[in-house]
Formats: sequence, C-alpha cells, structure tokens
Amino acid sequence: MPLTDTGRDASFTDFVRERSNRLHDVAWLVTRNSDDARDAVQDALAGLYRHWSRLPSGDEFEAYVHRTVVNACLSVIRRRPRSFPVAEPADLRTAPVTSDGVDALAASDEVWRLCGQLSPVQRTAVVLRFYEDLSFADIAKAMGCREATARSHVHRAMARLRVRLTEGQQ
Amino acid sequence: MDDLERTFREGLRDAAAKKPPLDPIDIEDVTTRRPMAAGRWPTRWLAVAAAVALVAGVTAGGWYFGRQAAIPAVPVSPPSLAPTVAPTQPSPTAIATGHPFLGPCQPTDVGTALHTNRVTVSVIGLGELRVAKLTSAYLRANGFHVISFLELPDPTASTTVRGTTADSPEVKLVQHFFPGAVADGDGRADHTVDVLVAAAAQVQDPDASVPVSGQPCLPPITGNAIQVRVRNDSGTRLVNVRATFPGSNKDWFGNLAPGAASDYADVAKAYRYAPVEAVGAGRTLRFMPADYVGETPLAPGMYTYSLGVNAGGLTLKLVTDR
Repeated sequence: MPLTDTGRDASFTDFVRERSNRLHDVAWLVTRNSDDARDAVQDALAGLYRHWSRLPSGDEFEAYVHRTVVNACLSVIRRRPRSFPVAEPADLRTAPVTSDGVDALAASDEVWRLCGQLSPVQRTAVVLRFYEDLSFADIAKAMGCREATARSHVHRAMARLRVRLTEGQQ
Repeated sequence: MDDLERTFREGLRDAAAKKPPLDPIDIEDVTTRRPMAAGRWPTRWLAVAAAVALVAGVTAGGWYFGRQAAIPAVPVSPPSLAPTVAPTQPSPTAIATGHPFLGPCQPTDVGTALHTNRVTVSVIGLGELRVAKLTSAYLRANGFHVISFLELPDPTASTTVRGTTADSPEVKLVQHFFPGAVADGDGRADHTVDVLVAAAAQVQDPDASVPVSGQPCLPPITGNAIQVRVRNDSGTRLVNVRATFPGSNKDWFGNLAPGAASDYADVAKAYRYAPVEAVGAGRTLRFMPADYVGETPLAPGMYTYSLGVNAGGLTLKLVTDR
C-alpha cells in the first residue's frame, strides 16, 4: 500500500508510538508467546491502518482497536500447532519481591499459571477485565459476544483462582 | 475491588512487566503488510467468503480451460523472475525486487574460503506467508549480507538459488542453507545471489564456508557490515542477555545456556567493549566499560563477545571471527 496520505500516516505513526507497547502487553498476556504476540500486534496494526481514515472516534474507536487486537490474538493462537509450548519459564517467572514477598510471589505465579490453563477466549476476557480495566459491556464489544458471556468468563476464572489460592494456603 | 481482583490485576501486570522486550514496530512493515485480522470482520466470515470465491474461481477456470483444451499449453514463468543471460545488467530478480544494481563485481581477497559475511543476498518469498521476511532474518543471523526481501503471491514447490552461474562459490554457499534447492545462473554482472524461497530453511551454520582459490569476484559490501554476537563461555545459564551498541536498537540477545551463542546481529558501531547485562547465578550480572576513550570503532566484520562470570560480575572478551 503506497504511503500517499501523509495526514493519515502521521496520525497512524503517532498512534503506533503511543499504543504499541500496551497492545503488545495485551497480546503477550493472551498468546503467552513473544513471537505470537508480536505477530498479533503487527496483524492488528495492519488491519487498523487499512481502515484508518474510516475508523470511528472516541469510545467506538477504542472498541474497534480492542476488537482488532483480540481477533488477531485468537487468530494467531488458532494458526499455531496444538503442541506449541506455552512459554519459556525462564523468561517469565520471577515475581517481584515485596515486603510480603512469599505471598506476592505465590499469588502472582498462580495467576500466571491459571491464565495458561484457561481457554484462549476466557483468558482474553480476563486480560481485558483486569489488565485493560474494561467494563463487561466493553469486553463484550471487543470479543463479539454478549455481556453475560463476558461476565461468565471472568467469574469462572476468578472462581478457579480462589480455589487455587485457598488450596495453597491449606 | 476485593483481594481476589487485586491479585488478578497485580499478577497480570507483573507478567506483562516481565515479558521479553519488543523490538520497535516497523511502521513501513505494518503499512505494507497484508492484514490477517480486521476489527469488524470475524475470521469465519472471511473464511466463508474465501471458500465461495474459490469455488467460483475453480468453476470459471474449468469452463475456460475446457474451451481451450485443443490449444497446446505453453509453459510460462513469471517474466520478471525468468533467468536470462545479461552479462552486464542487473539480474531480472533485482529489477523485480527493486534493489539497486550493485555494479560489476570486484575481485575480493577472502583468503582461502568464502564465508557468509562476504555474500550479498536478496530473498523473494514464493510460498508461505512472510517466508521472505523470516528467511532474511535467518540469513542475516547466519552472517549473510541481505539487501532486500520481497513477498510475491506466486507459490512454488521448490526453492531456487540464483546467481551468476550455478557453480559460483557464492551460489554454492547460499545453497548449503537450503537443502534440496536448485541452483542456476543468469550471468548477472554483480555476483549477488537471489533466493526464490518456497519454505523457510532450518540450517544454522554461521561458520559455513566454500573453499576458493584466488580472489572471487564479489559485489562490494556497502553500508553497515558489523555483525556481533554474544557467547556464554561461563558455566552458568545466562538469562535476558543485553548488550548495548551505539546507534543500534538491537540490544537483546536472548537466553544463553553454557557454551551457547546468540545469532549475529547487525550493529551500526561497536568497540572492543560493550555494556552487557544478564541474569545468572541468581543475581543480575553486569559488565560496564568506563568509557571508549582511546578506543577505535571495530572495522566491518563478524565478532563474538565471549562472556564469563566471576565474583565481580561479567567478564568480556572480544573474538574476531572474520
């Protein structure tokens, strides 16, 4: 696609500079693999650029961005082999050591492990809820599902974490 | 917000903070990339649309070629990629990919063997999605000087390595990285090599070479030709190895087991020493040069920074590979 519309390109470049790190965080949390996350972000940005001049503004724009990133992440996950390793543990697992370091480490690790066991769709809902701080209505828009479904995904994930943490304390 | 929600938030933020670093997004790559996902179109509708288009295309094609059955088929290859003899001209692939004609080759002293860092390559992807980009990165990691890559929507079953002649040393060296690839020549004057690649290669052999006698005729290596890698010569696994080079974005060299080396990376400028940081033996280890006063930048070539671990942190030793 030729770069002819300089106004569009300048605003898109600004958008990429401001948002690509955050989008990459979301993609990383959903796909749990750095290469897949990068692919998903690139795919999502390419999709956004294609329609850049026609995108809505305000809340609708944010919803469109989230929808595009979610689609890209789930698409990447669908394309990869079923036996793909989850992630390199050495890359990931050192939780911050705080004053109550042991508890923080355990809970943080448990969240990460639990997210790995959720289905990609459930995990997406959790990431949008607790990392992007979206409302259930916005999560539903981003995922193309009903609000009740989004709420259900998140609550089931929280119930599982509650059980895990309770078991860990016993 | 209850404690459980807070735990979720903190856990996810912690995981995001610990993710491997992202190379800067290449805007040009994004704006020229074919999108795989768009916001309003769920993938399943794209799949349905593609299936309908495929069926329609097959039906129309069958009808058309059925009418043409009496006409003998003439094999036609894409004209822009067809090998032709043009001794003083850029290669047809060079014209197709738009990379500049590098001019007539020059006799080059490479010693007794031609290594990857002296070979100039263009990559044309004719297969899987983004195969040219992946192959370019892979060839660079093996030390080749890659000047362009291009994805074309013309799937092919086999990989072709094309240069001046099929027996040119630079062609043979590239062919080594693509087992089963066919080599051919088009008489090009600049002695660059084109890879018309069907599937990404897997061979990892940055030390590969082809014996030569005399001085092979090669294109001059222009632009940045300093390639560096990091090797873990300690007995400890090193995680998140970062080495910083002036003017270069590349700083992450991955996780290195004892004895392992990273891929080569192009850098703009390098010195005998570089700031290096890694996590190993349960702590963050660093090597920090005081300054570069009196140091001269390294000449173009391939270098390895050998890392060791002692009580004070990391030790660093530069090895010139070639």
